Amino acid sequence: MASEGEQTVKLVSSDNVEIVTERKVAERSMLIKNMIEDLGAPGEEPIPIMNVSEAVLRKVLEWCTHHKNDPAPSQDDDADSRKKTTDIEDWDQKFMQVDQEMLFEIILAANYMDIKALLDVGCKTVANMIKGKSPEEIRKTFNIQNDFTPEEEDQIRRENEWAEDR
Amino acid sequence: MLWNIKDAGAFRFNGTVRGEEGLTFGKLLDLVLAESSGAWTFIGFTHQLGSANKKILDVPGDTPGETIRRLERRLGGKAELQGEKSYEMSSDNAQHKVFQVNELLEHVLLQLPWKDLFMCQSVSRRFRDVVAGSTSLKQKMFLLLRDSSVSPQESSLKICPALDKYPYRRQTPSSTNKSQAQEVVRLIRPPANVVEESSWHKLYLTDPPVRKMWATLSWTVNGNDDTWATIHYLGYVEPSPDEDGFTIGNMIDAALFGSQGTVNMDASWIPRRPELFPVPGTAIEVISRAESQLGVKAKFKEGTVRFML
Repeated sequence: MASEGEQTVKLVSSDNVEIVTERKVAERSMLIKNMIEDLGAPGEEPIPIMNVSEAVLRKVLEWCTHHKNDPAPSQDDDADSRKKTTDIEDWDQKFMQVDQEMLFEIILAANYMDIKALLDVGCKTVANMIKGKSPEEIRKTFNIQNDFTPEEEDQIRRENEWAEDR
Repeated sequence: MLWNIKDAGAFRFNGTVRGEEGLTFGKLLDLVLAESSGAWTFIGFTHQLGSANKKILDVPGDTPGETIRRLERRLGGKAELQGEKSYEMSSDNAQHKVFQVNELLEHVLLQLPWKDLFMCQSVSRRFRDVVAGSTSLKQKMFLLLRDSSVSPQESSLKICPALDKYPYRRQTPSSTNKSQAQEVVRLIRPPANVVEESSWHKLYLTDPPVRKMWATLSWTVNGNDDTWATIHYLGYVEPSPDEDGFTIGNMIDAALFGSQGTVNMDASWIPRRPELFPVPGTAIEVISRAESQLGVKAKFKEGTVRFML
């Protein structure tokens, strides 16, 4: 019987591609970890990752491989990580240099697969794209439509214009 | 989408267009105008016979753009897109999905620095509503207290980032009045474009709230011809028992209407004195008198708050 570190699991992406990976890597995802525990006999039954396509799943697993030995986050880290808003470690920063669609795909996958640290890195990357920008620049960056009525926009602007004073 | 030719007629487009990734409203409009597959319904009418007798026009062209041009020629006018933009974006776009899930947009916004959170509310209704509905975002913004029942201690006290650090050396307490209590001193300066409705007024000073503080607040009234008055309030301010704690606005009001403190005034028509002398009345009364004398509104200039812990 192989030790836990060498065990592999089979994952199946939404577009039906089978990916074999180390169990320890896959278990960065709480979704997979719980599934393995529920299923028993890891490695035999393929695990369907219904909402994640092959390209995104491979990218997510790349992150999990790099971070497979990270200590599990404690409850205290949670409050701390919120304070340090924008610091992302170098490797993660490079990892997140993908096109905007992939970035958001990673966030959706991290959310679905329950990988909190990856979700945080993704959300921080998006936050860095928002930081210091005017509402109009934010709309441009993400193709968001300004759906306020002129009255609503005027009101919310007046309430918060003071924050533009930097 | 509805186009209107003033007092003449209108054209409504009902249909589906396929856009690519990152569809903006402008691109959507171009797509609609050039839509030639015929998968759209044309509803045109004219007001020329009176609104009760809208006549359906029979002028469809190959595309909505062509139809509108024909309508313009027929009715003699320029078609303008109406405010009614009842279109739905059914998008497979990942970014769209992330921003549509409250928890995910909230998670993104929680990573932002304090000041950016105020700005981002003006992006769209979605951004505004997610901020409005999020306890953790509002706590981070100091619009909501974490727990108002906790007693404040210097180590765990969070001070609203709108308050500046006190830049001067702290005055040592006089030897006769050596208080055991610790105090934290902060400056309040209103940002340049603060107006009455500003959310700046709704910011809590500290979290958890400090219930006892000494404040020195100043207002200026600047009249024409180099006439001016500066009014100061010096004294304790404390939130009433039913208040969770002080917001900046509540504290300013407490000083304006409070009768526990001292009010001083310095004005261009008062001969220079070596020391300021208290004037009778509450700060609001003194300010109102100066305002009516000079014919302009007073402005809150700055203040110092000592939080007694």
